[in-house]
Amino acid sequence: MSDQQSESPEFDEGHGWRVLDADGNVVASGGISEAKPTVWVGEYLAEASRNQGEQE
Amino acid sequence: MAGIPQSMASNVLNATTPTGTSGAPGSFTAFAAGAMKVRLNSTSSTASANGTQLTGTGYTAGGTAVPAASTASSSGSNVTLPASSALSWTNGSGGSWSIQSFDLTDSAAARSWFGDFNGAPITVANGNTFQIAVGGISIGLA
Repeated sequence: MSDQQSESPEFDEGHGWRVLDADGNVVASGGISEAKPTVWVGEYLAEASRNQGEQE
Repeated sequence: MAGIPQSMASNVLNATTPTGTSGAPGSFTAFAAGAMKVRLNSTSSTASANGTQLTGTGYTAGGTAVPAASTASSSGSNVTLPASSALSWTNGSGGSWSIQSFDLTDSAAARSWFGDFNGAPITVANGNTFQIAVGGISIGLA
């Protein structure tokens, strides 16, 4: 078993991810996953707030 | 939790602010040439560190290269990946994989973006296959 790229036609743009069993049946799936720096900024501010709380 | 590593944030900030000689824009540290990679992790990545990478047969350390160029962003639109075909990993490790997050890296493992998978953690039993659809990862600044 190794990394490979699927060309399954029913799993195209608009989907996120899926898990297939050995017979090719879908056993789990999920939507599109996102990466946005705005979330990171929130994470950064939350950490800064925690740090400030620890110093007080 | 998703976003941009601290290293990348500093790279962008330095290249777009007067941090260079005599107040010129600073330089941008370019990423390595070669196809970028999607790395899978069993824990969340953070702004300061990668998540814990998967191991075992069916997963190559460092991640899997994207198959083709994504459509470039215009007017601030997101960039989605992979382009043209799904990414696929078949678990032959002998145990289950628990997939929490991804990192997008250059071909030399420098991180550019990271994020948790929608619905994580994702359990992939031994013998099962995890796939990311075309456009299954969306990266944006808005």
